[in-house]
Amino acid sequence: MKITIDIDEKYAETQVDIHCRQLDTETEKIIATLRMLNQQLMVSKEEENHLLDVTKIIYVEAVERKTFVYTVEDVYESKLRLYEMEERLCAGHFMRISKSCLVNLRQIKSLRNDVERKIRLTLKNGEQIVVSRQYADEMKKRLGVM
Amino acid sequence: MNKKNTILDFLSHVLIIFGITVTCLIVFVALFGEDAKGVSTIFQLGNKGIAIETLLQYLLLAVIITALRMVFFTDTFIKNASIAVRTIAMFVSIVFAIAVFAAVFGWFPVHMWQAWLAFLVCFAVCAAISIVISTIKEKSDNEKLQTALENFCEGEKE
Repeated sequence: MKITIDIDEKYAETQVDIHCRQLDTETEKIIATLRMLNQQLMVSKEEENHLLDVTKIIYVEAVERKTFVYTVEDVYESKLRLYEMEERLCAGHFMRISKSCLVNLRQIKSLRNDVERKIRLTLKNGEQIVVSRQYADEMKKRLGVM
Repeated sequence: MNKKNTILDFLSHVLIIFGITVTCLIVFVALFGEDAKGVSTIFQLGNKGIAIETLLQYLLLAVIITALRMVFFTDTFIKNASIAVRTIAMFVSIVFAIAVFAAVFGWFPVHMWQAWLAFLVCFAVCAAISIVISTIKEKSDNEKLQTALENFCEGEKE
């Protein structure tokens, strides 16, 4: 892969152009990483709004029509519904792991097979969550096991 | 999974276990039926066939084993246990269930320690093989998953 960096004061903002013969896995990864950079999400905690860097999110969970965003230190609430979160985040390092949960793949510390073809994840904050059978195969595909 | 699917899943497991055990039983009855006729109620018809009461006992045992499978191999009752621990607990429960059936229905002479020893040795060997295989497979699958995760994160960093 050829990388060209053109530094010039004439540019008002940084622009990344990708020239490729076809959209392969490597190119998709580059695009996903670029999209994740500086991506922030408006969340709230105790009636205060915060702009949260998405790379800090460990997982997102929907509980009784509310969407909660978990980081190592805090739990925030988002006005976005889970499917809207999925649309925004799953192009990056996030993926849906059950009907009510999205996880940041880069925040998984370890994982192991569980009963009923589920996968049990241990996250970097020490919490354990389960990938439902419906999404376990998709996770294996995403990780390149299947 | 909805309630209808859970019931169908349960019934299909009962019938699979029942089918396998009865198939094995047919072979044993055909081979040893006449010799074991007076020793065990399972072979009460000799090599002529299997009594309906024996089939019903096997069906009941299949229901119990499927129920035990639901207890030990779903996270409804046990939330966090390794597959090896679940397998060991399941086998211990099954051996207990079979021992009760053997005593109640006269599957083998309960007063003969040799019969109990033979039963326990056979079952222990089968259980040990099964547990060792499932543990090795679980460990290998988990290592593959962990390596895949590490490769994924490394790939993303590059």
